[in-house]
Amino acid sequence: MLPFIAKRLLLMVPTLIIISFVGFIIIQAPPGDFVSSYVAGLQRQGDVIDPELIAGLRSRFGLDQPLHIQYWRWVSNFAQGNLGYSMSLRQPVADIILERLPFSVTISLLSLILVYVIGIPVGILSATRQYSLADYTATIISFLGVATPSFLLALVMLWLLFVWTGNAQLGLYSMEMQNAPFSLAKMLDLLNHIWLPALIVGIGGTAGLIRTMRANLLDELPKPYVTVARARGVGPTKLLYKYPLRIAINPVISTVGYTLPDLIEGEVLVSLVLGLPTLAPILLRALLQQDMWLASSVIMIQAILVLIGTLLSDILLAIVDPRIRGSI
Amino acid sequence: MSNSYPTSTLDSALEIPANTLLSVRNLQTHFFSREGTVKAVDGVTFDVKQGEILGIAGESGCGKSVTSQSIMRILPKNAKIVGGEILYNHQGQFIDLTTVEPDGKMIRGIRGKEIAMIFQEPMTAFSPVHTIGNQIIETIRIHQPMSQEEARAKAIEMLYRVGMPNPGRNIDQYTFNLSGGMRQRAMVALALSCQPKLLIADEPTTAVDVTIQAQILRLLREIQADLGMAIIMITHDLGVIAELTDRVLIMYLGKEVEYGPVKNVFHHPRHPYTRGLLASIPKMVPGRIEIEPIEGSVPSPYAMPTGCKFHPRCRDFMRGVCEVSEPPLIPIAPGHEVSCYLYGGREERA
Amino acid sequence: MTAPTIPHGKAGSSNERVIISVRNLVKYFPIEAGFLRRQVGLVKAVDDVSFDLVEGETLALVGESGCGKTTTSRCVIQALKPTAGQVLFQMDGTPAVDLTQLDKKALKVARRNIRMIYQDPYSSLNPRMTLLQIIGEPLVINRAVKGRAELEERVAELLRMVRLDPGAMNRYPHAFSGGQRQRIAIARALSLSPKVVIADEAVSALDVSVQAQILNLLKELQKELGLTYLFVAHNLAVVKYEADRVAVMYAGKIVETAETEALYITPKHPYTEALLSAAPNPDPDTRNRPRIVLTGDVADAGNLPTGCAFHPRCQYAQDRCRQETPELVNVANAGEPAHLSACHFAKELELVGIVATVGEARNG
Repeated sequence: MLPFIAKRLLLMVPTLIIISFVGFIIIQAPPGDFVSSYVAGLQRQGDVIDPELIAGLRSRFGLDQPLHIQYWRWVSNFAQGNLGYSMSLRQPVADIILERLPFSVTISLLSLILVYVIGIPVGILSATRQYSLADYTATIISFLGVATPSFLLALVMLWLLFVWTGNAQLGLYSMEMQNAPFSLAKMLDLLNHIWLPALIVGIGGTAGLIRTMRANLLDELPKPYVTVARARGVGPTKLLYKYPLRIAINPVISTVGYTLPDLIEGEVLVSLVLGLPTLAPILLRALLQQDMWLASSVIMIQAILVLIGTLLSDILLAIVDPRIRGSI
Repeated sequence: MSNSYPTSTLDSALEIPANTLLSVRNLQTHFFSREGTVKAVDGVTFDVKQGEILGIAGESGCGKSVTSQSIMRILPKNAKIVGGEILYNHQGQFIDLTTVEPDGKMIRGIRGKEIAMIFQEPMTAFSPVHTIGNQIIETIRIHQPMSQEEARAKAIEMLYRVGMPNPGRNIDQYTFNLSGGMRQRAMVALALSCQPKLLIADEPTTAVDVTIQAQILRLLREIQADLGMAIIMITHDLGVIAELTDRVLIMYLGKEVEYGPVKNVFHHPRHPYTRGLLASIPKMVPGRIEIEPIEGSVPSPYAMPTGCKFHPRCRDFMRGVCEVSEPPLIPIAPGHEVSCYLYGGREERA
Repeated sequence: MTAPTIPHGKAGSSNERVIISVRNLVKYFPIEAGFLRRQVGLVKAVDDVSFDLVEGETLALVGESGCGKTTTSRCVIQALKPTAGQVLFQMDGTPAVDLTQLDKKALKVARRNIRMIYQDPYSSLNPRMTLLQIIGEPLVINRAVKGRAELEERVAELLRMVRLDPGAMNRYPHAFSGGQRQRIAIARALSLSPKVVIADEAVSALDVSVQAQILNLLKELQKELGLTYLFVAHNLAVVKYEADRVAVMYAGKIVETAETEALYITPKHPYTEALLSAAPNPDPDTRNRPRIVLTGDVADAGNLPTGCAFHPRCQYAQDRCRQETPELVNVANAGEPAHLSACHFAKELELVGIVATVGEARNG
């Protein structure tokens, strides 16, 4: 397996280089740059900016340099661990990411747990009692969950909650607690708010997992080794868990790795609708404002996470499935 | 064996000849689907004595596999035993396997331990993500109180007995690592791990090369002699039946057409279908013998002929008789029965 | 075409024409492994195979799984591109062509005359096409008919030839049984009036009673249409019934070739002897005959033994067998039909073939 991992790690390097390049080009594609959109914003508010100031800003941010110099400056810094400086937020990029990280991770982890804890058992139930009432119910809910866009769900839930409780559950803390120091009360407040985004982000995933689990298990149940195990006298519990489930769950286990980037970034539209302090809205704004370093660095971080995530998935799959282990 | 069907379980218990291990009486198993009901097994009766080898032969759709699945109670969800009895000699007492719970303790204690099965495709008979050792040891420990080490030693011994090369090492292999012949042996070892009294072999040589087939048949014969085990050999290959079995049951579309000692059935076949089958297979003898195919093809199970199921393809078809009602089983020699109006049975249908 | 180098044919007849001559056919598949998918070995699926196919005869290629018979048949028809060797094809009156050297266009023309029937009647017919479309497709592609009326007429004729009702031509394959589907496949193969038909395990997936129907049909068609068959199979009894000559393959090589009766009664290679001994005979009286049961598995073409590929399993093996690969040579006596064997001791060994039994009298 080690040569396989080594090969994948080596392949990551050219992949990341290409991504950095393409990402950078795309960010710079719209006309103008950060300064021009910043200035335009100010001018909309009625301020008049001295052109010298504009030129000064440009040179300070290095935006007057030719594109390839800008690229090189960013990439070489990035490779050394310096993620750059956000022009819009006046903070180092690394600080911004670290600030947001706990929230992204918490919400994503909670929703992930939700997805697996609900998805797997319901999927199993659906498959073993195929075409029963339970199966049809689970199927309908799954389809609804998969089909409904998450932001729509977020809006609907927000509105419903508001109607029921009179509270607009925006953000992760209520107004009073926002800037309060960390305490038990703050913790409870957080929990009070965090279930909603976790639920919404998780629903689509849960529905998908139910369907996947059901399909995989239905594939395995009629297979000969299950019949043979039955013919050997294996009891009904083991007949389900040790044999077909063990194989049906392999793809599910292996796809855990893909969730790594989501874990860090958070779900964009839901975060926007609910006003969550995750990384995704930041990235969106950075792209709109052409905050070049912030945007590029976040994208690179994401790309690295995707590559590591997929590698982890593949390694996990090799661990749980000896057939794959033998062939890599 | 008498020529009348037993009318009650009590009677049938009294009529079982000595030394019988399994007695199947008028078994009927049906499959239910949206397109209709298929009478996969429609009234099959036979006995298996201790240590005897019975062959069940027939072409596709005849119900031979379903019969074996009915005995083991491993039918799929849409199939049901709707009639008949399967009397199994369990530690001196006969129990009717059709009446036990399909996945209850009783049948699970019998499956794998007293009645075991080997299948056509050894690759798919094992779980692909567990080693063969894992599955053999599991089977042993389900049925016998033993520690992991003891069970492992027993498993290795079994693998050695079936001729697996390097059993101590191959026990920890996965099926995809083993060659075809080794997989076949692993499957036999799996089935024999608890030394069953009856082995049901469902087409074990069909998917296998002829030299490997010879190895497996020899292996089965040796182990059978060794353990005094009875075997039900299910196959469409009449050559295998001739090579291995003591008695043979020929099936067609769920019905029993001929049943008797293998030499009698092969040298003096009575039923037109048996005759047709034997005449249609090329022989491994010098000189050229024309083969005569049976006309037509096996009808769809949803559109079965009336009366004798074979009558549309039968050379000896008797109009007014064969298509009207099903012929009974008629004894024509000791232990040799045939289900055909050519040999009588017409008087009963006035 | 130059006179064939390997003598063949029934004794005394010189008017036999070789229609296909396979010469030194080789097909290797690379085995790749490791970090950079480097080639670490070769699967020698077909390893220097030569034989002649005489017009009007049935030559069987017999062997167990992995022996290379199917790969050989695919190479003859150029479905697989051979690694080396020639496949010479000569129809009456035309010069011989080497199929391995033909370009796509010429190959398409040549392929009208060499057709194939496959093992699985369920997957070899497109379920979305009617019989008319399936059987008519070769005719349409090769522009052998003009207009629908002529197409339907020809397809009806072909259906009749395989003993199917022409009225069925607008139905789909799923309405037919395995045996009937194989007939459809045969009709499709015959649509362009080929000279050679390759039957690749054409009856192996059929029920016994249906198998007999198809075997007899193939024989009748051969007589009616003057076909030449290359019959690939693993069932020795079927081969004996159907073939005029038999070539036994093992680990990518031909180990014995002879006329059917000669091969079966007096085999001249230990592998043939073992195969004949292992084949089950539907006569219970012969069950206790002395049997040769080979140990071990069939040779792995990716990892062949040295010398004779069969030597590890051969009960007659000597040192020479391990060191020297035997050549396929004629071991028949002068004046007798050719009987080729690739065994160092073919002439010395007294091998046992099939024997007449008491049971035979009953079957006659």
